[in-house]
Amino acid sequence: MQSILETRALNKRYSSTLALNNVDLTLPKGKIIGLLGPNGSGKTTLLKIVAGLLTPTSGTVLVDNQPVGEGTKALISYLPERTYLPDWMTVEDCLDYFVDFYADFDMARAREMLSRLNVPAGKRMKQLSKGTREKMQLVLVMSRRAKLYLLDEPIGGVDPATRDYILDTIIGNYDNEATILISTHLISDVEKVLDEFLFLKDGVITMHDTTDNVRETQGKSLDELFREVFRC
Amino acid sequence: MLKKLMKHDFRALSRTLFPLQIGILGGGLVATLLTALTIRLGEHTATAGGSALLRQLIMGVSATASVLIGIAIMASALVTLLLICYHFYRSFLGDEGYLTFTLPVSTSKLIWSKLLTGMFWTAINAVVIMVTLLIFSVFGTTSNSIANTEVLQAFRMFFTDILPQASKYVNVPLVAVEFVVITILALASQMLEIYFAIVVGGQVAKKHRILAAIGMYLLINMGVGIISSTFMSLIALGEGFANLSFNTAQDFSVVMTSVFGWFGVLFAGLSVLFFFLIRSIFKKNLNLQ
Repeated sequence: MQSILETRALNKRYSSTLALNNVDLTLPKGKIIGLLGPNGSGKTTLLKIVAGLLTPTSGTVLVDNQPVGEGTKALISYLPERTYLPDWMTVEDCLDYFVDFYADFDMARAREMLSRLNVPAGKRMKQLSKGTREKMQLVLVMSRRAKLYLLDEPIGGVDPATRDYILDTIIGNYDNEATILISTHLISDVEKVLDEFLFLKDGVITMHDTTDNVRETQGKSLDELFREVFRC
Repeated sequence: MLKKLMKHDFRALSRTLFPLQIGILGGGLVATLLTALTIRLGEHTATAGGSALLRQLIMGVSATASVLIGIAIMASALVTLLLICYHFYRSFLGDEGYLTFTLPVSTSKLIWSKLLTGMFWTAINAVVIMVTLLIFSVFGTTSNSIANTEVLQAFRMFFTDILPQASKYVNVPLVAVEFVVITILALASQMLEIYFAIVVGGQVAKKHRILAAIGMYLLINMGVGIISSTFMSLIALGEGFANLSFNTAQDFSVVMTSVFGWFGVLFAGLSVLFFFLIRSIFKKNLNLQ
């Protein structure tokens, strides 16, 4: 099976803290994969390195067989855990921005999603609530026909009803060739959409398996397994 | 892609800088009107034999208006520069960096876009300031007529007397082109020096990064001062300026043209140095918090 993301001996150190420790990873194309782990396990660091926002201390990262750079950024659609759209931009400005820079941006899909999520088109970002801004960012990210989606806590800040819509959107709007890597704490919510999962603890990948395999061999849900593995 | 980046950077900067320039022009017009009125009132009071105290008061208002316009103009240049720098900081080191650095655009283009839009707005600000000062000097400094004929006469003299006279000794078009090129290079090197200080400040400090950037700018500026004076001293030695005689205006103009040229080389060198240092940090050591 062809891989979309490969990391080899990937390390990231922040002064005295080793955030990622020798991470070897191969993710296939066309899968929805959960990146799961407790706070401070290195999930965001891993996503930021793949997105090109952090420089690894050592090791290699290949996205669709290319090192991280201008080329891979065209393939990746990244949703950070924070709101990054400038306050003064209107919803229309944001759409214009994404259309300008991403050849794979689907404007019709974006407008349809915005309408379904009741995001008002003429409003500036500073006039929107935090939750609506997060929805806006998710719409922008999921409206691209990217090869790799990196979603850092995509459902953390929204209500349960919207959460369901977002998960349906994620499943319904990506093509079979694309891979989605979702980092989240809300495992029970995302479990139903995941093909595979990664457990990350103290910067080390401790488990990489399919969700079906966990259910079949261990007779447990992913949420139950997570609670067992990461019990405090 | 550079065109698109510039379009969005221009849009972001115009939001604050366009109203600011309109404000400078508007403020300048108001101050011009106020000064012209107070001068006329002062003259009228004088000819009507009014009290000296009232005349002094009116002239005081006029002088205060002139000082205020000067301060406002100086402040506008600083505010323009600060807004340009803050835009750079937010786009690269703030939360917006998550948007900027995930664009499928080369690092060089990202820097070029910030540099060119920053230089464009600095130039616009300079033009607005000059126009404001021109309006003030022509319409705000006389009581005899609407426009100050002495100022207009001085402008006319510059083109009818001074320039033809100067062209006997120097190649005026060449000097003019040289001056424009050096101004552009000096502006680019200064802007890139500030951008570099912001980037290094962001690298060395996790908190108070703006303060760190100011500290870095002071340090870098000292380094640039040392490099510049060493470079120009070496050039002066190499060209043998010390042994040259300045007996004629031609001698002087030849030396000045040469010095200007070397300043151009210095500014170009500094611009290239800062550009590649910023690019190198963004490419090899980016760690967005």
